Amino acid sequence: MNSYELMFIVDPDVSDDALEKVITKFKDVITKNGGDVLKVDDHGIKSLAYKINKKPQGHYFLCLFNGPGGFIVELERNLRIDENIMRFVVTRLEEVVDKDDIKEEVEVEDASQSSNEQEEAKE
Amino acid sequence: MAENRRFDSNVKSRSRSRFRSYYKKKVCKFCENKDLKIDYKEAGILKEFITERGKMLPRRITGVCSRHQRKLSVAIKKARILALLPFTVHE
Repeated sequence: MNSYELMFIVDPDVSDDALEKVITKFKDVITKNGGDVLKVDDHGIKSLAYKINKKPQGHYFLCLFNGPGGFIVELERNLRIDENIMRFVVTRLEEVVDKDDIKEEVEVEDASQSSNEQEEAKE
Repeated sequence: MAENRRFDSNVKSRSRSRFRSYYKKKVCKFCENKDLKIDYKEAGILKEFITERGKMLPRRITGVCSRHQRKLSVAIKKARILALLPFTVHE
């Protein structure tokens, strides 16, 4: 079991419904292959250092998940197929993150601020 | 001959002492401050280690140790893929 971090950029022009679909789709891919999504952070729309697909901006997401190493290939294949995803990077973390660690973090965040991000993380 | 040699050695030692007087020992930023983590998401930190043109700075200028330079180079490359840092900067 390893901890992985997935950062991906979604097309900023995509509608909210389609955005949710994209995210749930990748959550499904992870959970179906024996992985465990710990949290999904919305980093918002940021301007890019260079244009990708002729677009100057991108919607950044950061996803933290645990799982066996074998399915990363499958996940990356799915990410490549999706047209709404402009870029992605999957990184293995040096230390394995437990579910309990994340829960504590989320609770602390909840106390200080309330937003949709935490709801996503709890799911 | 002998005088010449003495003269040469004098110049050398003088030049070396001058070099030393200018020399300020650089310490690796990441070794000094353990809380400072190399992370591909932190473009602000990585920006200190690239030129205005977007190229990575060598160790001899930044003073980073070899271990951290290795991690830094991987982080900068990841940040470039995610368009957090530029590959090149055109005017």
